[in-house]
This record gives sequence, structure tokens and C-alpha cells, in this order.
Amino acid sequence: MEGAAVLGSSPAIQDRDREREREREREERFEAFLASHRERARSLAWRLLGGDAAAAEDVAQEAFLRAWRSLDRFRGEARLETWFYRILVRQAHNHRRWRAVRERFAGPSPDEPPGGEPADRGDPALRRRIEAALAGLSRGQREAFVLVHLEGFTVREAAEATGDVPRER
Amino acid sequence: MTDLDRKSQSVDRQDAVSVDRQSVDRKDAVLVHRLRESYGPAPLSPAERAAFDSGLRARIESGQRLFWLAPGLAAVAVLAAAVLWLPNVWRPFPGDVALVPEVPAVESSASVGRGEAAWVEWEESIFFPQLESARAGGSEALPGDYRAIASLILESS
Repeated sequence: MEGAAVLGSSPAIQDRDREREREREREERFEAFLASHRERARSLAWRLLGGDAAAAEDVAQEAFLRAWRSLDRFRGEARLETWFYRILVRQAHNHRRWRAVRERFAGPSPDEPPGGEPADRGDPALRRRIEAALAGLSRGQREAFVLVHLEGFTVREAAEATGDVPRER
Repeated sequence: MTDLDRKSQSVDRQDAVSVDRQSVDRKDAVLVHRLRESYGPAPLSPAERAAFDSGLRARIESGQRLFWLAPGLAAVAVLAAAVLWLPNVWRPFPGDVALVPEVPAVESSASVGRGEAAWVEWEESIFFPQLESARAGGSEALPGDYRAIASLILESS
């Protein structure tokens, strides 16, 4: 009787163990991805959003959330990374667009200081000048400049992140 | 070697990943390096990092809750759609015809008779559709409920 119960339940237990193992591996993979990309994602979002720290954190978290959901779709870290930064750049762009619409109809929000947080590094006056210069660029120029020159992406990586990959001949 | 040279060399080493960036000359490279240093968020402190991770964890968990709630929400949506859609397909009860504003204020014995006739017509239209279509004379005829309204209007005028 007992033997039958053990025989009957063992495949189920094995399945559960396998499921737990898969879940643990997924968690570990995500933790590793988060640890290696947290700072860069936040910094990229901050620079694309003109120094808005709260919005940058929001955008970076949203991109990580999507990465978590889609983790199983990507076997290799490189493909996940490319996809992740593409999501992040798009999220930042959407945020900028919504912020522009909001400010047009309701005026600038008091919780989003245009000059950034006091804890941000560098000279605040210089930061404001850089911000104004970046704001004068088109979306594509700004993203390319931030990705390549400020974040250290290669041109190819930046093109993939912005979705402007040139076609192979 | 000047300070500027040393800086530009270190910048070149950092930026030597892409051919395109090597085309930026040393003076520009120093400027870009300065921009990078001046325009960026301060690194996260351990407490801020923990807050970031816990915020992300909360988002993931709330997303998972929504994932489990989704079938329930879908069922509610289907039910709501059915409730909104059913009155449009349900044939009106003959008594409902009396709610049409054109109904005469004083109800005569003729109108009671009309009510009974409408009942019969309604039953026939449900149980004997072939009879209904034969009487109506084909596809050009009005549906039963519209005919009941039309007959009320025509008789009252």
C-alpha cells in the first residue's frame, strides 16, 4: 500500500522538484542580470530623461520587469541585453512623450525638478547647460549621443537599442 | 606628457570599442569625457540599491497576482458583455410594446384585443417561423416586434 503510494507520487514529486529547480535557476539568472545592468540601466534612463531621477528609476524598473517576464524567451545573455536596452530606450521615449503632453495641458509637475536631484553628480550649472543642449537635439540624435558617447555603447549596440539597425547588404 | 594628453589617452582606451568613436579627435574626446563625468546620476548607495530591488520585486509580485487574476477578470468581462448584449437580441415581450410613447392614453377593448393578437403573433414567430415568413410574404417583411409597433401607430393615426 505504502509502496504503491510512493510509486504513484514519485513522478509528481520529481516534476515539482524540476519545476522548483527551473524557478531557482530563473531567479538566479535574473539576479545576475539585474546586478550587472542595474547601474547602467538607471544611468541611461536618467540621461535620456534629462536628469529626472524618479522617472529614471520608474523606467528602469519597468524595463527590468519586462525582462523578468521574457527571461525564458532568451537563452543567451547577449540577446536579452540587446532586447532589454531596446525596451528601456522605448520606455524612456514614451515617458518623455507623456511628460510633454502632461506639461502642455497641466503645466510642469512640481515633483519633477527639471534640474535633477541635488544628489546627482557634477556641477549643477554645467548639468543644466548640458541638459539644455541635449534637449535641443532631435530624439534620434539625443539617443545616439547618450548611448554612444555617454553610456559607451558601440554604434552597432546603439543602433540595436534604438531599433535603427542598418540592413546587411 | 601633459595632463590633457594623459586624459585623452585614458578616454581613448575606454572608447576604443568602436571604429566610429575612434574618429572623434582627442579634443572632442576630452569634451565627451567631461560631459560623461558631469552629466549622470550619483551611484546608488547600498540602501538605495535595496530600495530599487524591493520596488522591482513588488512590481514583479503584483504582476504575478494580476496573472492569476486574469482568468477571473476575463470571465467577469465576458459576463458583463453578455448582460449588455442580451437585451439587444432578446425579442421584446408583447407587453413591452405598450411602453412605446405612441400608445394611446385610453386603453379600449380593441387595444386589449390587439394585445392578445400580439401575444399570438409573438408565440407564432418563435415556434412557427415558417408560418411567420409565409404570412409576411418573404424577406422584405418587418420582424414581428417592429410589425407590432407599426400596427399600433397605423391604428392610432
